Amino acid sequence: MQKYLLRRLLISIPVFFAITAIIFALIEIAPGDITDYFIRPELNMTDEAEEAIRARFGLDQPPVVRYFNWMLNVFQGDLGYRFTNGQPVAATINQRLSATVLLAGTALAIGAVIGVSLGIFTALRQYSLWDFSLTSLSFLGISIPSFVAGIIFLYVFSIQLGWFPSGGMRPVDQEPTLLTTIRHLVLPACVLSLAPIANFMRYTRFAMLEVIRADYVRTARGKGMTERRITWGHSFPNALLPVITLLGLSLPTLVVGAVFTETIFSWPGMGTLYLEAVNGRDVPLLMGMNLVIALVVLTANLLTDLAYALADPRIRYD
Amino acid sequence: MNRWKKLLIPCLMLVLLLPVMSGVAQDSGVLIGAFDVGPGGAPAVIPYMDTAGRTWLSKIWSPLVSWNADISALEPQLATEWSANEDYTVWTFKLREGVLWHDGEAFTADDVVFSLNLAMNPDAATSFPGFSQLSRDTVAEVRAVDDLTVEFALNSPNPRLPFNLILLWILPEHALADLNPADYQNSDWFFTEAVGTGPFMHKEFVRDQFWALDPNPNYWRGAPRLSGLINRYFADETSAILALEAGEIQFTYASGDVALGFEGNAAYNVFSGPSGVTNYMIFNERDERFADVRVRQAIMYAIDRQAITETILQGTAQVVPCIGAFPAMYPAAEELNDYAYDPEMARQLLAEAGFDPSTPVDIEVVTYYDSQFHADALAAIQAFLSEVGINVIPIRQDVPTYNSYFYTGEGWTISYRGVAAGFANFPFPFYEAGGQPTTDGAPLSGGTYQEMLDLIAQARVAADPEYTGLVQDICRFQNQNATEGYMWTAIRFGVASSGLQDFYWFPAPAGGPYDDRAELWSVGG
Amino acid sequence: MTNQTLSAAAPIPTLQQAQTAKADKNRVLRRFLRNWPAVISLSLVVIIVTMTIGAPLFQRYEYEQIDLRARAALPSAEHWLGTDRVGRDVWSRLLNGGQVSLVVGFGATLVSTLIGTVLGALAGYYRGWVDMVIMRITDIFMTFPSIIIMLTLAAMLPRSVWTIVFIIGLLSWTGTARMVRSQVMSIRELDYVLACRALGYTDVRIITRHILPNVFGSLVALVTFAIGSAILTEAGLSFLGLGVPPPMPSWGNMLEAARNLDILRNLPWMWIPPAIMLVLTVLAVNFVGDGIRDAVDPRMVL
Repeated sequence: MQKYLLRRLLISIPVFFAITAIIFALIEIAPGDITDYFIRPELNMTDEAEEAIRARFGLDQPPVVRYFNWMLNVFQGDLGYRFTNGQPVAATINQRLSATVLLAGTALAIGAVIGVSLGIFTALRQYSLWDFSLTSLSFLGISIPSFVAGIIFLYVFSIQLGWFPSGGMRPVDQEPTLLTTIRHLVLPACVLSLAPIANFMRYTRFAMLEVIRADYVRTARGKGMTERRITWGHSFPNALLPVITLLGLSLPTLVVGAVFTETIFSWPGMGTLYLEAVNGRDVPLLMGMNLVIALVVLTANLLTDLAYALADPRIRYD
Repeated sequence: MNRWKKLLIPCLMLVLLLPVMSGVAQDSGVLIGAFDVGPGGAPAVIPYMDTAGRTWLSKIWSPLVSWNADISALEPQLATEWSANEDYTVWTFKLREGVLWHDGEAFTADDVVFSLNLAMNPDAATSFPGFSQLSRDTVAEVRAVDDLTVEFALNSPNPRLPFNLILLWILPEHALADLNPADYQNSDWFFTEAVGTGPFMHKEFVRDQFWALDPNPNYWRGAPRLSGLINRYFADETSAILALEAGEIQFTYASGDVALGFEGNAAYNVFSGPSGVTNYMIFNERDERFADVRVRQAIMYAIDRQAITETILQGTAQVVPCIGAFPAMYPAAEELNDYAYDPEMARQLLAEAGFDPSTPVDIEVVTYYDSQFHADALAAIQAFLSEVGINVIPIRQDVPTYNSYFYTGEGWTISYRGVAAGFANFPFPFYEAGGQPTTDGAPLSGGTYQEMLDLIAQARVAADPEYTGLVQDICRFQNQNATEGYMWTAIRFGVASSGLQDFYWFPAPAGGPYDDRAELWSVGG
Repeated sequence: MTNQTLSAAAPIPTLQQAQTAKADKNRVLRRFLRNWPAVISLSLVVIIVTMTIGAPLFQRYEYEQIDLRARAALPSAEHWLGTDRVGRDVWSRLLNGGQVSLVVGFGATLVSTLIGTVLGALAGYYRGWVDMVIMRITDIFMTFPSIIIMLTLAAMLPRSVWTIVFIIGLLSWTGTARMVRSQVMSIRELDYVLACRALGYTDVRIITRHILPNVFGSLVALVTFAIGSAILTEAGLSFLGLGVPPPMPSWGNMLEAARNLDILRNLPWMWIPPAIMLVLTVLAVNFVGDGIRDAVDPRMVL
């Protein structure tokens, strides 16, 4: 196990370099650069400032040089400054990251808890009315694009009922408190949890259906165990693997963010920041954000693999 | 089953209680608006980097001169009067007396000198030279004659310098003298301790959330009536509209279709005006099919522009005869070809130009627009053109992708786009070789029209009233030769709560700056 | 937890079973047909596919034909689902849009499921360095900035439905790979798999015949989600200049129109029908998958 862990960590280093190099190359290949962002089509900008912009951002140097400069600076803990507005990349990511972790974390927690519960619930009642209605509802949840769901939520709960603020992360006329944060969080978190609820519910249901027909569950039932003990003591632990995998796959959403939900609720998260970065071909910001995402993906996958061994002792790493 | 219910009840109660637990505080003297939503907005920009968002910037900083309320003429701001020498190579500006910076210091001519030098400083790499069409080559020197007089010495005549200076926000030398120009764009000063001469003063800025201002008691026109002005940031117009309907903000930009829904509603006032932007199809004349005037004219005849603006766009756009967003730029109607819908004429012209009606051609039309307005317009253009055997395929690209092709002159055939075109900001560089960064050095469209270039050369150095005449001549030339496919100019809208008094908004391109008398705005009553 | 070493999967197939494979298939079919939600769903899929492929037979207007006098019209006898803001018939656009969306939904899902299942099964079954290499490639793909890739490809690839299928498929197999691998890792340690190996079955046979059927449940869940999200992703692609070129409709870009507040509020007939079609399609695929899984699962008693 320890040897496996060490090997994984060691191999992460070249993988990590590969990822940053590939992403840098992709940004390089993508059409347009920061100067194309500054030439606004509707404004009559001449080419006077274009070379100045290029030189200012070091774009006159070859890409390989820029990549290694970026890498050197990263090792010194410097992520650089944004092309589009000169703000420091690290501070920008830091601020947006906390907003996204709060929102996506809440949504993921809601999704996992409700989704897994509903998954078990429906699996135990396969083909019942409950099963059909909850299944259908969950599919409605994933088939309605989140901006439409967001607008509908805002319309009902913010405009009609006036229960929650219509967007943003804090009130503009008073200092934020825990309570104001919760009030701003409820609607976007609910909208964002629709997909995880459906996802966790479907996987749990299928995994449960696989195991509740297994011999050992029948044996347990034959021995006269209560259904509750069978479910929680025997079926569920064996259905955990897909749930853990899904949880691992969902962890990156904590840093990636959700563009549409953030947009409609004016939530200053990583999703909208990424879009801003792409729209401005803001290379330092794109590289910084991808760095964070890569770290989280690699960590999440490692944790998931380790969790397999805990959930299923038959899985060994050597 | 019971266990589920047990869980459900506390959850429901929590949800029901949450909203009750905190009321919405409403200070009647504070105006909260979404001033940076829509095409004229750009959240959290700083002076000289303002691609847009100038409506908000003008609350904190002021230029020497700005547009007037409907951007038809200039309005004095920090300058009271200005004049040029005979050949327009030296301009003298008299400055307003008694203007104080937000921190109490006096505003002087040195601040103007400092501001222009900073805006032009290559190390600061601002977008000011690009947007103002001023360059280090044209402005030789700016000097303070006395505390309240500034002189601009130019290398070449410029009869419209005051228009170019609209974008020159005057910054305080005493606060920024120590700033290294290379750090200009990274400076936090604008968001933490900004000092200006505008009607409102910096109070609090929370990135991506809002920018709050206090009234400036020393404002030269008198202290504002509002006790506070807050600009809330929205990533999307729809969110801002919903916030307006929820009563959380009192103003936002709204696209035409949405704004029409507010018309006649007593709770809201709808503001509207010409966008100042002409939408047109630019044909790449490097493709020889479009170098033929008959083809370009055929396309004009094939599209029922009147029906599109009146029906599909519900009157939120007006047909234009040429590049130019204001009727005063057009010559008399009888001198113009109105290209009234005539598909028969279009087919005939196409046939003359060698198009075979039995084999329709596919042509991609690239655009950077992503609004429903332009999507609908393009759908209609597509349907009309398919009637005459031209299948256009609209392709939407993001702005950097679009620009990376458009300005090379390669990789596109027709582009549906917009250009800001008023009297003072007429897009001359679009027509001149080398005016825009194309790879082959030719004008953007690839077509060179010597007659128009001559008119432009005269217009560049002409003062009114000759200038107006020349702009009209350019319009006539463009119209008759269909140098491009001229479509329409959009009307843009803003919606304000009717609780606002003396509030004013105008959809100036990039937000102006224009004179909106913000010190008179008030809330409630 | 003591029961975990007991067999949790299909019994070892015997020689006899192999000989009665045909009878087996009949039994599977009979079982499937007895499962009425699955049968109804299958008929629904057939109906939807027929209607979209045969769109010209069921429509009264061409999908790109505009009618300025009847723009934004309510559903009526003339236009069954009303018209959009340019006066195009929504019913006709719904049918024709289905062609694109179904090809993209099923095609992209097929690509991603194939890649994901093969790589996941190999990694989970062989473990060791095979696992290490495949999963690190998966790691790299998971960190790919999809917007930038799409932007780049939009500039390089020809615009066609197959390009869209390829791109969405290529960018969405990683979840499948990790999911399949996790379960294969667990199943390969079960007694019956060990027995299969002892019997000298080839690896290919063990994986395809004895391991993958046990992953089927998760695959159904994956597939149903993948189809829905591929259909919605296509709409996002047209935003970057890579979706189906207008005026060709798709359910995704019809739904996308609901981002406009005027359409969302005042023209619900423009976006609710594609939303319903999307839900129905995904739901039907889910129930069919459910039914197939139950039918092939020998432990299932109906």
